[in-house]
Amino acid sequence: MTDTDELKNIIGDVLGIGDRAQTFTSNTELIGSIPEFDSMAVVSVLTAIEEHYGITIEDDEINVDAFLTVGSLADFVNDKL
Amino acid sequence: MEVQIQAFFTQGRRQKLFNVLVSPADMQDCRAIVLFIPALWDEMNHSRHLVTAQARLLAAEGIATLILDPEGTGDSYGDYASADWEIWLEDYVDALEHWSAHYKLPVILWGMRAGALLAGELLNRCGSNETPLLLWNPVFDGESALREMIRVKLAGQMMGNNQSMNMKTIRESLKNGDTVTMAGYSICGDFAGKLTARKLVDILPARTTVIWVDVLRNCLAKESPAKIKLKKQLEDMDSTIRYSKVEGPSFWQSVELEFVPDLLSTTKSELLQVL
Repeated sequence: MTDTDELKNIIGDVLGIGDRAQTFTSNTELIGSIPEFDSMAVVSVLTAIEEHYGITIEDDEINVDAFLTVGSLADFVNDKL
Repeated sequence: MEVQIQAFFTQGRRQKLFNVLVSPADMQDCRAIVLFIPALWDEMNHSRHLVTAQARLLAAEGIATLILDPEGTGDSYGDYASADWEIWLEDYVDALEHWSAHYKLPVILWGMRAGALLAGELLNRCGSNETPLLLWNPVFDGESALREMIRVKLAGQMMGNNQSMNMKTIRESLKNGDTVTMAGYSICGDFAGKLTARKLVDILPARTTVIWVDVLRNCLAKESPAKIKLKKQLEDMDSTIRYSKVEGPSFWQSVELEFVPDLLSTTKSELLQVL
């Protein structure tokens, strides 16, 4: 199981916004709200998640819904674990 | 030791190529030459500053570094849409042969990320077992490099609410030899095919000395099974692996330009030990 704390750390590391990421909650919006969350960031976060949790995200699993909020990303990861 | 940086163009197989040579101010002080093969696409741009910083440190120790932009990349002539893996390889072979013949010094090949694949192929083509291979966060499988790029395109589409291509249609287009634009780069099917066919463990000659330096966000994390397997495969080929890891951001894809001093000092120290 993952929680928003682990994901906040990953997002903070990948985007280089460590301090700001610590203030995130599961309702914090990602795509469209955080300026650093561009398409490259999406890919970097996906890769970091794969490496951190030892999972592989299949081509057809990537969709915008997972990246709407920190909470939706946690749900996405937990579905894979 | 004083350092100099020279920038110049050479004639490649098809196009003029941009070179930067970072070396001791007096080449008589030079005791080895490093040929650097960059990462692909934006990763090349995001890492250039660190590569130059590393080259400067090495030059102060008497080690020259040649940074050659492959055709169609960086400041070399040509365009990415016509990039040809074989031409890239031939251009590096020519550079290696020229500098080896001119200076008769030990050579080290340095590949970063997917550049490791081309470095390995270059080593296979014209290196010897005496030629060490320096790798920064190597990509061992060309398929994973392409997958990341396709993901960038998909992510871009996701955010623009445009579903015109999915992973499957992108891969089919590339297989048909079409050119697909991803993250601002036009990647032709032929190049994608050659990239995805490359696996470092299949390319590397046996008994290579591999200096492998990883920059990791968390050095305390358990090593992935994939990495353990790769190391074993290299050892089974009687290759010597000198593995180091330093903590730092994935600077080749970070939003801001990052600096990783530990990477530079570790790399310098490792190279000095093999020379």
